Amino acid sequence: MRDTVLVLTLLSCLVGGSTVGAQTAPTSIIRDVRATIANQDFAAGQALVDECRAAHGVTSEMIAALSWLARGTYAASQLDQAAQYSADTYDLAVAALETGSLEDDYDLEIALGAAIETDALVRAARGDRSSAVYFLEREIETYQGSPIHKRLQKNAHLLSLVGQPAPAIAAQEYLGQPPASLDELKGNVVLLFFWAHWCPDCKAQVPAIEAVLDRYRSQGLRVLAPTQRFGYIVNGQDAPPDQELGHIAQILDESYAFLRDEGVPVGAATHNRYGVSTTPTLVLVDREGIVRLYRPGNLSEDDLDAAIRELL
Amino acid sequence: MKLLSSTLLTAGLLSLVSFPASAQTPASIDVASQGPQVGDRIADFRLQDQAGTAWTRDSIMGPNGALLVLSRSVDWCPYCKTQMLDLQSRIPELEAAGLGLAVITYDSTDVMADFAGRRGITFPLLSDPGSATIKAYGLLNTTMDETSSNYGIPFPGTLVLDSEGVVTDRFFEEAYQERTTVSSMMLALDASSPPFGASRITTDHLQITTYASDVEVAPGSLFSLVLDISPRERMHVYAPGADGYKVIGLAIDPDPLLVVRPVDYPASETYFFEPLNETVPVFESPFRLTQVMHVSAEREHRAALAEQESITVTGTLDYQACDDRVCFNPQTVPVSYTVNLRPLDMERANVDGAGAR
Repeated sequence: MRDTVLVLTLLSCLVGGSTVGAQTAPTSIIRDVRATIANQDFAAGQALVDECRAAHGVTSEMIAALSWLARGTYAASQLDQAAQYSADTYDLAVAALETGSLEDDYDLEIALGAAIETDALVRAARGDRSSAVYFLEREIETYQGSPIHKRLQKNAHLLSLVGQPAPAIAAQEYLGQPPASLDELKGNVVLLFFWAHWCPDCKAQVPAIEAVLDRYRSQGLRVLAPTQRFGYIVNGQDAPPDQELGHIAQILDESYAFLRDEGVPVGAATHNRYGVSTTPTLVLVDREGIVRLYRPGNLSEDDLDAAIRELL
Repeated sequence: MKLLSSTLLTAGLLSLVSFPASAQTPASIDVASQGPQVGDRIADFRLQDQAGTAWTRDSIMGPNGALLVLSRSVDWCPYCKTQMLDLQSRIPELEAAGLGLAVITYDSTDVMADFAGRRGITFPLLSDPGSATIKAYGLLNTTMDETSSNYGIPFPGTLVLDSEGVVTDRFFEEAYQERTTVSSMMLALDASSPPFGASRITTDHLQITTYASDVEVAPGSLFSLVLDISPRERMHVYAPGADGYKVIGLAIDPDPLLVVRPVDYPASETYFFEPLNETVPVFESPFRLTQVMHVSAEREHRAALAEQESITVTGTLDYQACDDRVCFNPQTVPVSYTVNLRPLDMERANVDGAGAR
């Protein structure tokens, strides 16, 4: 059995090598690996890739074949394997780009696009929507204008909540005033600011939020700043819920002055509904309650200002 | 001594056979301060091995130096005999590293020959009559009564020597049952071979390759769990000293059969976060966490250990990652390692006067 696989692989690789750049007929190693995926036999697919690599080194076809294993394992809900295949494909593709280019190498384009897409899909499937979108947005910056740009853009849009009704904010627990619900806030533009007590990037976002709030409060801008517990406080020491809540209140007081008059919802439910696993994450909800911006990571004052002005 | 053994056997206390009464309690002496220290050149010696061949400090050397192991006895000390089996199994690794190997004990050459023959030991087991060399090195176990048959044994441990005989590293433990495995030493010396059977774990923030230093360990063998961690592009995780963050750490699930030491961290890097003018200790480049542990050598665990062929160590890698723009929620990654258990070598020497010298 093993001999058969080896012979098959060597043939695949040889044939594959002679058809570089073909867009319509997949090269042989890719075709053969896809056949194993159709049978859900990922181990056989992995063996084909390994043998091909041993015989011919890293080729664009081989990387593309690996990217199919990422997609195949993702489709089969094998998320850990999909993450590993995506990461391996990504690393090999990025290394190959040192000498090749996405414009001239279709296999490499397919491989890198699929690796990034699958990585993002795995994150989203694990409930880390903001991590997925963030990852895609950073890759879009890197591959701006390249052949994979559109593919990444499409995925970022699909995985974000843009265009969807904003999920409700859970406020069973809060600090300060009872927070208004999104229903009550309809008619306002609402900036959701997901933050964490240990998060330096969240503190760095404060001046921009303060500035836009001063500027647009009278035109109906409101800020809601959900946070949650992480099970620890200073020095990474494990802390019981009450102690951590006290710590959150203290950080709020020290670093988030603009939230003094706003109730701060506390709890994981809102984060889960919005798929927020990265902080800060900024979400803009329009006057009708529809998500118009879903931004994992900081926004400059100018960008935040522009995004809000569109909705006022 | 033989009479004592027979009596105990008759009494059915088999597990006690190899433990002379005076050796039950670990020495409470600071062994780190005993004997040649790093930077010292050890004195020369001339000692006979199990085959009657004489060896000196210079003749045990490989091209890059040698491991000189001070051992209690290859007659009655099960931890010592078991360590010899580990050493024998790692000779190719030591040769590849250009390191010679010799062991010094107070046993007679007859005892050495008996043990070497029984267990296929090919490296020199050096007999130190009257413990003259052990004493000269300042490694005599002074907690032993001079009238005891155990008087003359050293504090057990390993001196790592360069080719001039200068100590470059030491592996000595407080507890007499504990021995650092060769693989764990090689890790500490940064001379280990590429891992075999390592697991790879990919998270959104890290690529992790992890493995146990040894495939097989005995009670008391100090082995290492290794985590080679590469933060993904632009990512950093928090290092010890980062106030307010979850510092990366390995939490081994409690198991009465395991004794776990603190995680060994490399030097961290400093991350400057400009918007807040903050500096914080992080790991941003690939780094290694090493977790040293050993299977319990306590008498109360012997029965439980005798029933299992392997031991599975489980735990979690906990960390928090940020890049230059966002922070990710704290993560918990499960890890698991299975190592085979090597029984302690309880067999005594079949030589007249063994142990009594």
